[in-house]
Amino acid sequence: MINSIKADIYRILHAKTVWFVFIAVLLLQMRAVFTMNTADLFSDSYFDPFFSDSFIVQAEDAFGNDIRVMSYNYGLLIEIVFTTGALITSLYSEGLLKNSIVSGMSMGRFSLMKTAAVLYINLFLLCFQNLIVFIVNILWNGQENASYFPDVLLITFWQAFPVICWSCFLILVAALMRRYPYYLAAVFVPLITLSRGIRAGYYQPRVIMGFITYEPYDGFRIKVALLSVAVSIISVFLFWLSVNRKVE
Amino acid sequence: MRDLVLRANGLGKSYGKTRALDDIDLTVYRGDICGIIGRNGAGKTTMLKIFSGLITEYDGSYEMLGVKDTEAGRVRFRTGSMIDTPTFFTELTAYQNLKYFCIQKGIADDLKIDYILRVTGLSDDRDKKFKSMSMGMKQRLAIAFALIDEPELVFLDEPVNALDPMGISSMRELFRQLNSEFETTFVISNHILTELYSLANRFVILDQGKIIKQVSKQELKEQCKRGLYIRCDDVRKTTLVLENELDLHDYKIADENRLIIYRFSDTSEIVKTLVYKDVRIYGVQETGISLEDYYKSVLEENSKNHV
Repeated sequence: MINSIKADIYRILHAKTVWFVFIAVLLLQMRAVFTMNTADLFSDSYFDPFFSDSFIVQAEDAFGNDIRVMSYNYGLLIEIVFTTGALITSLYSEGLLKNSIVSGMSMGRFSLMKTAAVLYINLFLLCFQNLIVFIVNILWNGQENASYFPDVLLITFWQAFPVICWSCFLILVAALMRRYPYYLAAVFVPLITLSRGIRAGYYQPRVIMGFITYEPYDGFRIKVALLSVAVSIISVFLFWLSVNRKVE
Repeated sequence: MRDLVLRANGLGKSYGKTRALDDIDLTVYRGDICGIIGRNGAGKTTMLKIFSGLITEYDGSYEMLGVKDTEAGRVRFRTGSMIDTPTFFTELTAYQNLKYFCIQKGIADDLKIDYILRVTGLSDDRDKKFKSMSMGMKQRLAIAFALIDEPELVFLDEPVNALDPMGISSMRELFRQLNSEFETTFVISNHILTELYSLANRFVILDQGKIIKQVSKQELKEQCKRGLYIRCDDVRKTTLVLENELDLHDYKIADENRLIIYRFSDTSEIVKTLVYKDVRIYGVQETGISLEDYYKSVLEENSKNHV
């Protein structure tokens, strides 16, 4: 499992395409900051140039779902779909999977290893992204927002649940369908998200958004947040070191 | 007693209504270079895919490196495979692709990558991205992938088809070297029969999913010696005499004046009978036949039996 994570990190560090996808989804997530501010949360309408036909949309849809929360949720899901897709699509659709199978890996073990790798990388990305979202939030909404610093570690833990669910779902789809799992998932994920049946899942992004915009300043939380980001970066660095280790 | 590395018992595989592989019994010993010969769709790739673990649903069973097929995953790290078209990450270089799979397999020694790139002739192209590689380079990379961890048993599906003559020669030497130094066992399918003849010490001929002939190189040499080349005035009349008077059915007509007879016992008896039946003989020569001729004769015999 560790080997699979190491291999995928090695690939990320050397493949431009994966970097491009990561940067693209990070920019997409910035939308959450640009379209929301503290004043909007309690207002009836807000500005969303990405997901609405009209620029001003009502805060709740016909089913009573909070569109701002859904918007953030969309961002999260799009990110997971893109990053997971970038990491696994070629393995399944271009037949690269066979190279792992002939090395003695069963489909089940391969899927588990790949899920672990995708989860790790998604969580790292989320952690890093939350920090960027916070910084942009300060720049966009003013210095006073610095006092509403999000607990990055806690947010990442909150986000971990949907990440785990959707990553597993994508790996499963990829393993079963073999071909074009990313495109399939890209179609089905938003459709499933829209259904009212999993409305409970929106609770987490609501809390996340609350953290970003309303949590009071707490020196301890800043330390924990910075520590979590540092640990993530160091762990990736250690993986990088280990895969580039020269054997005499 | 020779060490058995692979034994298949009644192996079979169907794709829908098509029977791709039928009742395959195969035994491969350590140090063998087993050449698989067969026309397109004969079942060569399907058989190699089963042994490599790429096909998991099949009839029959096999044993590999001392374990049953149900547990073959445990020993597959001791094998190497190159099946079908080479596929790697298009945006990574040759070195990076091998490195990726080495990390995944837990191979820490980078020197192995350098070595395998050198012996497969990819040293100069190690930093070339896979998408920019020629077909020959891709094939070399696939061979490098199959051989990187010093496997005991290697499955290669048409490994030299896209290579240039120098590449074919160097790969042949590499396979021979691995076979003689480390007793690496190879199971190779190849359409270039002259190449396979120079490399393999056992030959398995497949047709319509069945093994129709298994022969060692020694036996093949013996059988290939037994060709009688006859130059005459009327080939048609000659074949009638051969079939009706001498009960010889294994022959090949080269043109209207020449034919080659296989599996005969007495040259003088054949000549005597032909002359007696008014066939003008211009020349008679006992000659060896190529693996290609042998393969064709086996196929023809099989199709006759089938009819």
